[in-house]
Amino acid sequence: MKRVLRWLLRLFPVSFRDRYGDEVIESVVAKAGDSRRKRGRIAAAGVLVYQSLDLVKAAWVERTIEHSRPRTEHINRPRSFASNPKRDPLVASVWRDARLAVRNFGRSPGFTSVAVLTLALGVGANAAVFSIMDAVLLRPLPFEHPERLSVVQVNVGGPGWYGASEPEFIDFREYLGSFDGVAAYELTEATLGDTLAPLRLQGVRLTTDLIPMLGVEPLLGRLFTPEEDMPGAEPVILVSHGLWQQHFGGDPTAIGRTINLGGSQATVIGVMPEGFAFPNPDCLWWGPRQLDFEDPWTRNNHYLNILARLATGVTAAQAQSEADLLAASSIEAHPRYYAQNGYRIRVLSLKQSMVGDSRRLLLVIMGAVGFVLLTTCVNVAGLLLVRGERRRHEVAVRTALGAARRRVIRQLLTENLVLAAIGGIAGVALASLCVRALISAAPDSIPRLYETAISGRVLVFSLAIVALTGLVFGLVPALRAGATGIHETLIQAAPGQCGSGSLALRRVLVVSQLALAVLLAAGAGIMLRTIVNLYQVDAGFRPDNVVTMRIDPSPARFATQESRVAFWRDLEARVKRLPGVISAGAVPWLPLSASFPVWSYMVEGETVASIGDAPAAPVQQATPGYLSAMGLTLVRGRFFDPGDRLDTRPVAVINEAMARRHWAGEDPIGRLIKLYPEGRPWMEVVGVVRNVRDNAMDREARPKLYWSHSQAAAIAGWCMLSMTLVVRVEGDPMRVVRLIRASVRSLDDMAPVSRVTTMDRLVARSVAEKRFTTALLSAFGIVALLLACVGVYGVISSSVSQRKREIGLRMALGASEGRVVGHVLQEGVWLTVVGVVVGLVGALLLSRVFQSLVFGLSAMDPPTYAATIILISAAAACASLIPALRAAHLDPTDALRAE
Amino acid sequence: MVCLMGRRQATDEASTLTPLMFQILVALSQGERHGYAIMQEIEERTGGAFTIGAGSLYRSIKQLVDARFIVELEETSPAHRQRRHYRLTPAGRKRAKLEARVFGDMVEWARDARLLDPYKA
Repeated sequence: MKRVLRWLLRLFPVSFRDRYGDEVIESVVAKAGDSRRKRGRIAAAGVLVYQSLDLVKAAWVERTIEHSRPRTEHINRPRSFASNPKRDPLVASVWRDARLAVRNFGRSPGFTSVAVLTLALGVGANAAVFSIMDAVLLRPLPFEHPERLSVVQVNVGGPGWYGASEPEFIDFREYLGSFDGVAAYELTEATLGDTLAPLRLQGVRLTTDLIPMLGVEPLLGRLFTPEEDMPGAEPVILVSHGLWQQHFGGDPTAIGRTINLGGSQATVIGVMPEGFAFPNPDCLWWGPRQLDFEDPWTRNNHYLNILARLATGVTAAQAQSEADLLAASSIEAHPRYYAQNGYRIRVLSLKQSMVGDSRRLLLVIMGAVGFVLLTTCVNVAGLLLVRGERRRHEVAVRTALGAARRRVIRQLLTENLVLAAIGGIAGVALASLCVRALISAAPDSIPRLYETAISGRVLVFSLAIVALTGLVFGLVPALRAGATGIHETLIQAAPGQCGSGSLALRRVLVVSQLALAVLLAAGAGIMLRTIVNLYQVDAGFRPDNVVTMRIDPSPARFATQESRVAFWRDLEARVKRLPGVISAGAVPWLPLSASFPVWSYMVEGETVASIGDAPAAPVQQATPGYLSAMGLTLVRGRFFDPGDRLDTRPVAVINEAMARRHWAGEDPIGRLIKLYPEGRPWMEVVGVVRNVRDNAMDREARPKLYWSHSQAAAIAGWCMLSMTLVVRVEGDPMRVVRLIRASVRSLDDMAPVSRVTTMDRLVARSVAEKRFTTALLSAFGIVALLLACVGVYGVISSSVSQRKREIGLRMALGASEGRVVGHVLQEGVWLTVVGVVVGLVGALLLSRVFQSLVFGLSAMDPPTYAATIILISAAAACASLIPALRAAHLDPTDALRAE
Repeated sequence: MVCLMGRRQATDEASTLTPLMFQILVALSQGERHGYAIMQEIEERTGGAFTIGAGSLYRSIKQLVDARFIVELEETSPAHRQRRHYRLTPAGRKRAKLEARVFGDMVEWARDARLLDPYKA
C-alpha cells in the first residue's frame, strides 16, 4: 500500500514531496487503519481509494498553482525540478499538453467515462487475476533454493501417486545419491491443553533434517537435535508464530515450557518465524516423527510424505532416472509387495506438487481474463479511433495554422497517456477490491492463495498493455493527418465524419469482440450445465438437514477398546434422544472431506500369493446409526445393529461396486471377506449399500468395505476414538449443535468438538472450484458481451452517419422505412455471422483444454452453443437496431443537405 | 474541498480562505496538533460531513505556513519522527477570527431567512 502511495506522491512537485511526503503517507495509513478497526475492511478500502484520488487532485492543483506563481517566490527555495525557473521547455509543454488533454476529456464526458470505465474494468480484473497467478504459480516458494526442493512419490497399484512407506523412505535415504537430503513428514492432529476448552490443532511430525533443508531458522529457541528424533525420546515441539501469539501471548519465556499435546507433556523448544507455513498454513506445530529405522513398519503402509533436496548440479531428470533404477531393483528384492502391481517412483518439484491440479483452473481463468483485457484494448482502440476521426478536422486545422507534425503527434500521445493513467488508477483501485473478493470466493483447493497481494509487477504489466493500446491506436489519426495533405483533409473531413479506412479496421475489431463474447459466454454456459449435472448426480447419500462434527475424546481417558466403543454407543444414544434429531451415527472418515485409507483384503475362495496380489479397497468403520443419519441406501440385507458386538460373529457391509467386483450376478450376502495380514477373522457380508461418491461428485465410486465400529478391535486390530458424528435433524441442522456439544461434554468434558459443518456445505465445497470458474466466466462473459454490443453499436452508427447521403438519396427515390432498416441491419448481421463463426472456431480449438473441467456433457455441447449464438445474435441485432431506426427516421432533405 | 482560485492564492488578504483552511485554523486555535490529529478533529467536529484527504490537507497546511498563519514546531515526538506539530501564529489567529465573524454573519443571515433551525440546545 505504501508503495502505491509513494508512487502517487511523485505527482507532487519535489519541494512538496520532500517537505510533507512522509507525513501524508503516515496520515493515510493511520486513517485507513482507524477505519478498518472501526468499520471493517471494505470501509478501509474505500478510504484508500478516496485518499488516492485526493492525492491526485491535490497534486494537480499544487502543480497548477506552482506554475501560476510569480517566479520570485522561488528564489529562496532549494532548486528543484518542478520549481526551477529555467525549466526544460519540453517538460513545460508536455505539462501543458496534459492539462489540455484533461480539459478536452472534460468536454466529452460520455467518451471519457466510457473509456475510463472500460480501461478500469480491463486493468482491474486483469491485475487481480494476474496477482493470484503470480502468488500461486510464478513466485518462488519462500524457502532456501526452492528450485532444488523436490517431492518423491510412489505408486504400487491403484490410482494416483502417494507417499512412501517407512522401508521405502529408508531406501531413498540410502540409495538416491541425486539428493543431498531426504526427509519425511506426516500431517497429524492433536488436542492441545487439558483445560475445559481444549483446542484441536493440526501439526506435522517430521524427520529432524526437514526444516534445515528448507533453510528456515526459528524466530526463538532452536531446531530439533538428532537425539530428539530417536524413538522414545522426550516429546519436544516447535510452535508456529500464530500459536505462540495466541496461546502464549507472544511471551519469549514460552521456550522451555511444557504443554499438554495429545495427552502427553511436550516441551516447547522454539517458535517458527511469521509466515512459515509448511506444508500449509493450517499446520501450527512441528514435532519429531521418531521413526524406528531398525524396525520399520510394513512396506505397504504408504503414509510418509517425502521431501528431498537435489544435490548441487543434479537435474530433476537425473534424479528421476536414478529413482527408476531403484524401483526396478526393489521389485526384484521384494516380489511379495511389488510383483503384482509394480512399483514406480516419481520425482517432481515441490512447487509442481503444491500447485498440482489448480494449475489448469488458473490457466483457464487467466485465459478468460486475458480475453477481457484484449476486449478492453479493442474497445478503447475503437473509441479512440472514433474520436481520432472526429478530430481529424481539428488536427488538420492545427497543422494548417503551422503546428509542427511532431508537436501534434505529441499532443495526441499525451492525451492517450493521460487517459491510460486515469483508467489505470481506477483499475488499480478496482483490482485491490477484486483480489479480496477473489480470495474469499475462491475454493480452498488453490494453494498459496493466502500469499496473494497486488504486486508491482502485476500493475506494470497491465498498465503497460493498456498504455500501449492507447499509444498505437491514438497515433493512427495523427499519422493519417500528417500523411494526407492538409488540403484534402480539410475538404474531406468535415467534423463528425468518418474515414472509410478506419471503419474497416473497426469492423475487424468488432468481429473479434463478438468472437470473444461467443467464447466466454459459451464457456460460462457449459460450466453452468456442469454444475447442474454435478448437483443432479446421485452421490449415494442425502446431504440435506445433516450436521457433522469431529469429536476427539482424550486417549488417556478412553484407553481400552471397550471404553471407546462404549463412548460412541452412549453418545449416539444421547444425541438420538435430543429434540428434533432423527438419527445419529459416526464414522472416522466423512465423504467428500477425507481421504480414505486403503486396505488389502481377501475374499473366501480367491487365493492370493502375496499382499501385492490381494485386492485393495477404501474402508470405513461405522456405528449402527450411520446408515440412516447419512441417508445411505440399503440395496440388500441389513446394516450394522447394536447386536453386532466384539463377542458376536464379525460382519461387513459392502457397496455395489465391490459386490460387482467379486460376486457379479450372484448374491453377496453370506459371503466371507477378511483384511489381508493373516490372523484376522473372516467377516460375513450382511448387507450391500449403494455407492457413495467419496472423493468428488464427478468421480465414480470405487469398491468399498464397511465394518462395524463395535467390532473393529477384532477385525482391524483397533477401533477409532476420534470420529465424526453425523446427525440428521428435522429442520435447521445447526440448531441442535449446542445440545450436541452438551451431550459430548457430559461424557468427556475434555473432548474438543471441531469442524462443525453441514453435509450441504461439504457438497457445496466439493464443487466450489467449478462454481468459482463458472462465476468468473459468467462475469467475464457478460462484460465481453456488453463490450461487443458497444462495439457493434459504434460501428453501425458510424457507418450510418457516413452513409447519410446515400440513405437520404434512397429515401428520396422512394425506399420505404422498412427497407432502410433492413439495409442497415444487414451490415450488423454480417458482422455477427463472421464474429460467431470465428468464435466457434476458437471454441473448437480450446475445447480440449476445457474438457477436463466439464462434467456430464461435451465441451462443445450443441444446445449451449445454440443458446449462446442466439443470445449473442439477439444482442448484436439490438445494438444495430438503434442506429438502423435512427437512419429510417432521417429526413431525406436534411440528409442530402448535410454534405 | 480545494478551490482553484486561479492565479490568486486563497490566503491572500482579499480572498476568502477555503473551508479546509478555515477548519485547520480553528482546529489549531485550541492548541498544537500534528496533521493527522487535525484531520481527525475536523472529521469529528463536523460529524463526518467533511472527509479530509491527506493530500489536500497538507497542501492547505503548506499554504498556511507560506502565508505565516501557522508555524511548524521544531521539536518532534520521538515515537513518530515524521509527525510535525503545527501552531497558530498571532496573524493566523487574527485571520481566523475575521473569517469566523464573516461566517457567523452569514449564518445569522441564513437563520433570518429561515434556512436554519432556531438556536438548538
